[in-house]
Amino acid sequence: MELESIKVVFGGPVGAGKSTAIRSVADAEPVSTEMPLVDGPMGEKTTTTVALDFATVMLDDGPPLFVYGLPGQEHFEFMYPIVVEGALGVVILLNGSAPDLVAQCERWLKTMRDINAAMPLVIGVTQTDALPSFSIKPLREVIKRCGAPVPVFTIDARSKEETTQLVRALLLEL
Amino acid sequence: MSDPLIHKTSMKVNLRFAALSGASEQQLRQAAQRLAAQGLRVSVSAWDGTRCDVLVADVGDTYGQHTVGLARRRLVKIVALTQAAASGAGCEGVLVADDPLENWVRALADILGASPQTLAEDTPVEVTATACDEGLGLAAPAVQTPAVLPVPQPQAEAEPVNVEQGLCRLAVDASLMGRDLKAEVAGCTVVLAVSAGRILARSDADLALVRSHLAQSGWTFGPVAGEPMPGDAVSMSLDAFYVQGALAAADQFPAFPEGEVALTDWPDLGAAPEVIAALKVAKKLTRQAGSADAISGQTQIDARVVSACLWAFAASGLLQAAVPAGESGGLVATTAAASAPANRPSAATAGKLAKRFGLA
Repeated sequence: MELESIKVVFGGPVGAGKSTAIRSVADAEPVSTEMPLVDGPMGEKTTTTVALDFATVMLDDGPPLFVYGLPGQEHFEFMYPIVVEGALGVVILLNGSAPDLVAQCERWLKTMRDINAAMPLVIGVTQTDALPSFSIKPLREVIKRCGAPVPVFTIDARSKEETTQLVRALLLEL
Repeated sequence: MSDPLIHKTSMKVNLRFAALSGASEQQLRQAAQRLAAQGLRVSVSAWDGTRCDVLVADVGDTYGQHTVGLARRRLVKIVALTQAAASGAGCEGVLVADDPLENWVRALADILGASPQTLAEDTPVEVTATACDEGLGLAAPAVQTPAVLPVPQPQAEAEPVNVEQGLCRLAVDASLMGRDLKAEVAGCTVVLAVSAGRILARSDADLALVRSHLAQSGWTFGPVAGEPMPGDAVSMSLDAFYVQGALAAADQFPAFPEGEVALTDWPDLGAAPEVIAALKVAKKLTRQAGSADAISGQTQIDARVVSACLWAFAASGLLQAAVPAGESGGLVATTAAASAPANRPSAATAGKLAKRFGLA
């Protein structure tokens, strides 16, 4: 019997919390390709994913859900279509404290739309709890410019429940 | 209507305005005063969601469009304030922003059916007293004037909205809607930053206390000025905050008013993972406009829960009244339908995914 292969992909720039989110939602410790940051630590972040993250989530009496994390560096962009191929959808994670947050959002939306315009997308914005000035409005405006409404949630990537909320929103798009 | 009560009185018109500039509001008030000479006693006040005879709204403004959508549902006469006379199609009348006062007086008189030829000052007219309940179930004028401004009765009404409830006030009070506010209840102060979709408080304990009072009265609101919160203030999604509070007290809120509504933006529900119902309701409303009852039927979610979600979304400023596409000033009835996903799982796998992630 051939098992159905299902996967979701986490993408987003460096430091957005992709590896942390995958660790939150996975059933077991993910396989990661973490390496020390060449330019030194970014706050508490000392390593970065140089290939991809991989984890599984077991389903009742069925195929596992494969969870992939894309590397954030732009020079790995060639990998994105390969990894995204066949995915149920993509969770785009963004660092809410990044000065170029809106540009990052637009770039990732367009990149994913270019790969597959029908791919369900969900955006998670991390590290907003300590940012009293954070506003979600510019992100909503970017989303509107990019087409059909995409859920955008502020989350704590360390929280299993909040990361799961992103996956739920993605599944509702199917 | 059987055996209506008939009164004799001078003509009284309850006129509301929305999204007008200070100058336009002033001109509107002046025009209303001039109409007194034509036998019309025009009461002018800001749109607050309650019954009125006429709404004057700037249809180039998002909030103005929102009020037009609500007014249209309630069959209130609408006068569009526009930059050009041609752009008010679909409304009963048009006021051009830069026109002189005399033009406004003439236009309003025409819309209200009054003119020196048809009405002499203090001319008594027959008016019919009607039931007060309407769209939002709020207070209505004591006397209606169907002879001039027919306002048909709305469909069967839900229970009246208790506008003292904090969340309901935020959803229906035009003076609060869409504005950043400093709010105080139970001795706690928070900043409701609607423009940013965030709420700020001094502590998580304050957030929890204020959230537990969303269904209570005793709220006071004021503008946000200066440094409203200390630098170490905590913040979270306003949408999630409202939804959590609304669902925790779902039994205490009135049924959401009838009529179709839609969402053009997804509420930020990341910090409210425990309220999956809100996620499902939001999903429905981003795909297609619907009424509270319809959504409840389609999703099999308890009507009280759906209502609470809608109150929360409305207070966040995300909920929009749906009107038929193509009508002037109308808001979208439904959002753009997304393309069918390329990689759908089988029904069996979809069911397992839903179960695994708490959607089933």
